[in-house]
Amino acid sequence: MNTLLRRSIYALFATLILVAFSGCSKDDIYLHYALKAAGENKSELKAVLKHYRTVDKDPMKLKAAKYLIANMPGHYSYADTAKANKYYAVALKILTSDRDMFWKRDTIQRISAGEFSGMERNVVPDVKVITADYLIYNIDHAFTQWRTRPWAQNLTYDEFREYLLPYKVVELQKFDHWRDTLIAHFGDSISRLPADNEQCHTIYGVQEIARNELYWKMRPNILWETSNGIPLLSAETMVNMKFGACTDYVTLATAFFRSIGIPTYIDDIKHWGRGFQGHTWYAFTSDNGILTPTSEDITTPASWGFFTYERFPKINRSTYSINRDVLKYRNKAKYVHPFGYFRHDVTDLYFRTSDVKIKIKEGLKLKDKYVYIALFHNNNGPTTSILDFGRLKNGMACFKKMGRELMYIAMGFDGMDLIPISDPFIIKKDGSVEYVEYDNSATRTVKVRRKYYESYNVVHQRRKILGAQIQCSDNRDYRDAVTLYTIETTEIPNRIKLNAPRPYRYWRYMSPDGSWGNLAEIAWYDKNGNKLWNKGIANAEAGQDAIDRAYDGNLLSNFEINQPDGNWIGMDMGKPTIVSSVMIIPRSDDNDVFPGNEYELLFWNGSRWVPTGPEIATENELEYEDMPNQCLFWLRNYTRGRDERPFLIKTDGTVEWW
Amino acid sequence: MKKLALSAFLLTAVLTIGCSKHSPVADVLDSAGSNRTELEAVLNHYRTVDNNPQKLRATEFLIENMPAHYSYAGTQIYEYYDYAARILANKSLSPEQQRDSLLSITDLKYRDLPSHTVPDAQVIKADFLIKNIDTSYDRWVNCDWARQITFDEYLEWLLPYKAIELQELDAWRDTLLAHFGKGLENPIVNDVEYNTASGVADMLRNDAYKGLNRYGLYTRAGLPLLSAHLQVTQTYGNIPDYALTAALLMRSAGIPAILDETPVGSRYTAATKWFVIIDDKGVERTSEWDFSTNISSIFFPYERGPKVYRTTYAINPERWEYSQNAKYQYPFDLGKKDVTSKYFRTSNLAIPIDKKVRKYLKDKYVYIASAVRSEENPWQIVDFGVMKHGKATFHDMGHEVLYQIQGYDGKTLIPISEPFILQKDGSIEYVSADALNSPDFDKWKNNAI
Repeated sequence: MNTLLRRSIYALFATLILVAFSGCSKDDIYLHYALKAAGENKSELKAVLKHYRTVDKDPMKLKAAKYLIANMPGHYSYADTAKANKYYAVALKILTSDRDMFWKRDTIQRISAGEFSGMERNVVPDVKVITADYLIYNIDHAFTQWRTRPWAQNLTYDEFREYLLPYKVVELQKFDHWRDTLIAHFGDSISRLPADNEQCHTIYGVQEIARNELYWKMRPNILWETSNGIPLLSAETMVNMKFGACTDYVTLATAFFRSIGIPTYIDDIKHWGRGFQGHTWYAFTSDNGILTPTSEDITTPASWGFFTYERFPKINRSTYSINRDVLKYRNKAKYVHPFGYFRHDVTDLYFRTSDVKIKIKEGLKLKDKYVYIALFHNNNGPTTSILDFGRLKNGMACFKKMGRELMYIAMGFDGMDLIPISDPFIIKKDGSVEYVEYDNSATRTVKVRRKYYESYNVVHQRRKILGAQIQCSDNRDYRDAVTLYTIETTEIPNRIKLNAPRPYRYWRYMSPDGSWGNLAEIAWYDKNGNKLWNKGIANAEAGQDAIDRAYDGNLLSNFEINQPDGNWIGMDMGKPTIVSSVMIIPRSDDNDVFPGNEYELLFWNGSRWVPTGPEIATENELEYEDMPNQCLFWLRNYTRGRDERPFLIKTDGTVEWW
Repeated sequence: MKKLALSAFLLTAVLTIGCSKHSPVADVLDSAGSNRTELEAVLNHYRTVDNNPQKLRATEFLIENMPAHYSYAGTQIYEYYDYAARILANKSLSPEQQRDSLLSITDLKYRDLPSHTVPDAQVIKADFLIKNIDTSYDRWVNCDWARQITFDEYLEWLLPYKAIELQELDAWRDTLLAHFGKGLENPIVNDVEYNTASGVADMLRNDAYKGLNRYGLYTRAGLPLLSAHLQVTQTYGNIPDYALTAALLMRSAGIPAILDETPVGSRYTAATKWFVIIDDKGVERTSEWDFSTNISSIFFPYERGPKVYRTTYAINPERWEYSQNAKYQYPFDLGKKDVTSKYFRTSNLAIPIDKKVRKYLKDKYVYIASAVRSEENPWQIVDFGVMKHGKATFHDMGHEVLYQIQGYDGKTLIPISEPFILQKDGSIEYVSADALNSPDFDKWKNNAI
């Protein structure tokens, strides 16, 4: 959506608080405003209200219609309906063709960038285009589900209006009969629920039955890291969407579940607490009133649990209703961050959170009472990402419902831009706040071996080199192998020096028993540091593919064998050869410091990241002298990779990642 | 009957609340008899030797709530435990044979032991309390995996010197950790799972599961094995047995853990007692079963029930008041907290009671019973309420359950309402008592415990 159009939609809000309707309730004010904003389409909206006052005299439906209309400003659709319909028609032909998934994706990408490019920038407010028939269809359908589906019987009106009633799940969704289409495609199982099985008639039970049918009919292929073209938001294209991002399938699942009366909502995080990416998932409220999220999309049952170890700074729920706090903020803030109008903070429904009051730095002259809380994240280097707004109170920046065990920084508006107004701070597990103060009163030497935190699995895989031996032999079967080196620590040098008494033809890395091989890379070098290469060899069970993975230069492909013991990877030098050193790269996530890559250490000096100068790593560890005694660090890798996080170094030298 | 002994103690211990200027702690000290010096020694220890206000408050918490807690009187229980240790160590016996052997000896010699109890306040030793307070406090303050809980949570989830009544006052924290805490000695250091409550709990759970070679036997057994040296060698058990062992093990390592239970059986197939931990993000996560299943946020999604109670060390003040004022005394445990709303949708009820029926009632307290699949006792009392303005009022009742209200007529409890179903939307549907035996109503009933 282009900026001008977006502003025009948002401008519909801007006057809202200026409208004075003495004697009217807030809901009446919102409804009145929406009708006014509809312009020539006002008659369609009023027709809906009249329908439920006269034709179908149902006070609850009338109330629902008022709710939909009152919260409609800000929701938007494609302005060029003909073009959008053409896109969906073309996309449908592509999706239903016999070609493979990647061709379909690439073709849709191509037409999205070509004939249909710019479609998403030409939008129109729903209030100006929605028809009475379409609204009535949606309201009647949703009420039928609520009133007839056994699993929807315990929904309150407030739950119903937010999680079943809305005529769209996401913006730009086509005004088609998506409820009927989705039921027609995926409703076989629920049409045959055994009457005597109570569990099938619960929200939890029917959701799992419906999800299964959805999953097996869609067989989704989640394509990460790719743009899949203009979103497929017509019902017919959705049901033929065999590839997509997790958000596409979350949308599909939510739409389908709402179609059959399962109260479903979409929650998301802008960023993982210690990562640069976000995540979207759907959740529902179980029969027992328990918030039940899925960890991914339709591929994961809710019973699989929800991210035990991940840290969440802020979880927002996509809602149909307008967040009036955001509306107020956007009308009053002098610097306006584009927080969505239709998002509600639900972090505390998931986890224990903290309301925090943060000390701001002295001497700042801020131009706004609104302040911001941000995470550091990587976007071609350290940057900040705004998560929420708060207010200045008594000289403190106050924020609500923040996730714990995370590092944040407060930002404020100086009249020109947002600037850091606090030291970085950590909201600890117990909710207390710990500031990371910059202290350069003394210096220290800093040693780092990684640029990103490591999980159990990474450490566990790396430890599989412990006990490995470097051996040489005159025989292909290594029956008289000479052991030159035994690995006793994971902190090995990049080149392990070998002192062979004489030349040998066969050289190998003998994996320790129980390791299943597990090595990322190996290389052999002569006394001049030249790589030696003739013919990679390994134990018979390994196969050529495994050998290739050990010598392919890719640190994320591994020599891994389907047997725990007796694995080895080596080199037949072709003739007796002296190997002076060997490079062993354990299996990991490729975030270790790697010789040959260009790195730069940065530190936070209280107001900005200070670079210390790039350098090419020559070892598995980088060492920096004369660094500030206490501060936040960040290690950049200019050669490759995206995983980078800020870290602290404790007095004992241990690294703490944030 | 242990309840009688307990009641007698309670009367001397706390009845004076309201007419005495003593603090609750002072009242318990007064009731401790010759053991008073042991309790005072703990208080003095944390006032002088280890001057720590939080530990002192923890001591006061333990003492002021001690009237709800009791142990076996005498030493006969140790004879049983010694015998049990020999039986469990006898590898020539199958778990079933071991179970039968302990059941036989219980019926023969020890059946009445649970009726002979003594208040903890009269027997507990200063050293034992200090060791428990120091160890649990050290875990709370120094273990990363315990830092998410507040002091009040510490009091209930880590501190108590026992997790269940009649548990032996032994060094269970050391014993359990020595057997199933090996993983803590040499953990794989990393930046995600390491030193987290979830990670440590899972490690402990796995160690105990493998170490005990869990073997479920669910028919009647002998006296429960409530001594730590037996719990680490138990060769069989039911789900509550293993859930208890798990909860104790978790607390031993500093994982905040507690036991929850239902007063009736399951609707389908589910545990009636399980353990709960507070994870790193402050979320209460259940075991569902015992340590044989992953600790999860999902809890038997199809189950329905009237109540879920948490076993607490603290005395439930409402139950305490009931125990002091009710004319009919139903044996509600004092150490239970209503946590139904954490598991089910609940409603507060105000059930109109016919005026003609009300005139027979001799007490303001009324009772709510849940229908169970039992011919002998088809209604299980699950909670008490009070009459207010002609209505029987109850709090936090689980939905989709068949209930009946009962009241005290001066002699016994009698039904005072028609049976009714509290529907999933919170509405009430009365049903005829005559129709209750129809199979159609089975879906509203839980199993009897």
